[in-house]
Amino acid sequence: MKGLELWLTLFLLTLSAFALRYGPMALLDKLELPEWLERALRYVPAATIAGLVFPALLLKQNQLVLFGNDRLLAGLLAAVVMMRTRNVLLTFAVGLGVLWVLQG
Amino acid sequence: MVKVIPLLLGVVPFGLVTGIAGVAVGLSVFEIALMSATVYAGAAQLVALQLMGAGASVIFVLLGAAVVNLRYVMYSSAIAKTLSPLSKPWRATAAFLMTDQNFTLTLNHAQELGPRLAPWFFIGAGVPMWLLWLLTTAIGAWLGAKVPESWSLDFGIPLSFLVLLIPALRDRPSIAAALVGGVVATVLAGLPYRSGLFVGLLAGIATGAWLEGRKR
Repeated sequence: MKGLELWLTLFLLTLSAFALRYGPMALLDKLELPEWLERALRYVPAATIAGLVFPALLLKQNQLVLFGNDRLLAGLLAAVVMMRTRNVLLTFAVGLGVLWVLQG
Repeated sequence: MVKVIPLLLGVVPFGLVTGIAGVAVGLSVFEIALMSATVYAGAAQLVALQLMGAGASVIFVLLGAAVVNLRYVMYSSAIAKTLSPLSKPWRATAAFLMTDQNFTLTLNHAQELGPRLAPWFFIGAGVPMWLLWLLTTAIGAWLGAKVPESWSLDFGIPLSFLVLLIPALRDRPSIAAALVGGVVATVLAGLPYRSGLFVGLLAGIATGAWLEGRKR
């Protein structure tokens, strides 16, 4: 994508991102969210972020690889570290470290 | 403020990879830096760049990015009360600087910070992140293809998200939402325009909301 089409896309992406971040807090002054919507929204982060993490760890060239998958193993170990310690730095160190070791 | 540092570190590989992804798709260093400065949403930028590279038209690039950015709607409504002491221009600034990280950090420390400091903490944590994001994506773009793939820097991205996912798994419905969302997105990864992500999101929300309803 180049030129005018690219600039238009970047502009609209900017507006869209900002609208999603600012809109709700600006509008909430004036209207209340219905209960079902509030409940649904509560699960958007977990579902979205999982939707980004799972494929990255489970798929290799778009194929599901459960065994001999070094990223999956490194990711699972990092997850355990995060669950136990809640230490971000340590989690990164373990995740990347394990991956580098496994990849030789 | 020291609490931000570990999360800032996670931004580095993420930014570098996004910069590299940008040039791979044909953007110039300037265009990527501008994108990072204005859109300022890593996951959405990556999805958008990937779609651009696949030749998707503007509307599909926007839709793909919007799906990934939908979580900001939740963050915005959840943090609205905390940010309400701010004047409108400052609230807009805070909104612009909103990321998974400063949202999570601020909410987690809301009690300690108290209502007067919390909004400024949010902004204060957001500014260095924005600067770092801009810097690392520009550097990544400039380095371009020179960073060896064997470094597996791109693994920093799922790691960054993993670090945000774990604390979000607070109860059974959340865990279920994540499991369902993650699995569906994986199974449907082959669908065009990253629509698998969207279907996973819907399935995850439905699961979480349904389980929460059953608890009562």
